[in-house]
Parts: sequence; structure tokens; C-alpha cells
Amino acid sequence: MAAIVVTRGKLRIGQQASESTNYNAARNIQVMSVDDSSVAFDAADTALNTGGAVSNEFDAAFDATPTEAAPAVITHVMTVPTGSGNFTIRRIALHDDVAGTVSTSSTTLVAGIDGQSLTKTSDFAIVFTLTITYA
Amino acid sequence: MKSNVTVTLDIKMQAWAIPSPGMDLDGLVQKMKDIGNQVLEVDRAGNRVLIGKVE
Repeated sequence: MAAIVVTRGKLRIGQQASESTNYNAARNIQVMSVDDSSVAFDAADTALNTGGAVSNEFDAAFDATPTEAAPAVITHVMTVPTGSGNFTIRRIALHDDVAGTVSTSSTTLVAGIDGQSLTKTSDFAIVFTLTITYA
Repeated sequence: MKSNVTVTLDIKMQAWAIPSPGMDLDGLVQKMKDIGNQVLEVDRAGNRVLIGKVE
């Protein structure tokens, strides 16, 4: 399993914080996705399908504004409702664009965790909490 | 002067399953066993089951 903030994600974090040349007020980290790809994330990945085609994917905006905890932890929460994401969830990722734009091929990947295996059915929803510690 | 600053970004995940309106918590726990999801914690007060790997 890899838990990784990809290189373009690190750049986006820096751009947004420093408002550098390619800063874009609309490109904050705002969406979480789940998919069924068995491919491990790599630092050079820019989209969910960089390492190979993705068969099933679901994404949505965070449930609420991400929260902060000391010393430097930011928590992101997204719910996969009963009727969505009903496949084997193997990867969870964060993206820097709106849900309507995020797809398996969108250049929006910021960070991800791979190597999971959670079978999702319509009998339940899953609330994913993904934290990034900046330390 | 040259100075290096290293920022380590550590990312972690939790997954809480919440039963659909037609299912109770015990039914959800059994469902998780049936479909092969590992139940890590049952939160009866919160009506939810932790199935994600906590690292």
C-alpha cells in the first residue's frame, strides 16, 4: 500500500499557499474519489489513470469544509452514498477541481492511498476520512 | 546562505460504513462478514462500523 501526495499535488499545495504564477483560486483541494484500480500510485501520476485504465470510479465534493488539528493536520471527509461506488474500492484520492470536472483521466490528482479492498454494496454508505499531516 | 526545508506530507484514511435505512447495525456487521470486509470497530452510539484500515 502506498499513501502518497503526488508531485503535482505538492506543487498545487505550494501554488495555492504562495499564490505563485499558476495559482488558481478555483483549484483548491475539494473532491475525493474512490476507484477499483489495483495499480499503485506513483509520485509522477497526474490523473487516476496515469498508471493504467480505471474501470469504476466515484467522486464527490467534501461533505464539509476540511478541518484542522494541531500541530498541522487537515482532515477531509466525503460520503459515498448507498447508491454509488458499489464496487471493490481499492484506492481513495484527493483532487484539486470540482466534482463535475474530476474523472479517471482528469489532471486533478493531488494525493491518494492505494492497496485497499473494501467491497461496497447498496446496503450501506461509507464515510471516508482522509487526513494529511504537514510535518 | 543555503538552507534546506523539508516538509513531510503523511496521508491516512478511515472508512466508516453506515447502514441503509432498511438495515440495522447488527445486520450491517453480518453483511460485512458476508462480503469479506474486515470489521475493525462497531460504534453503536454512532450507528456505524469502521471497516477501513487505520494506520
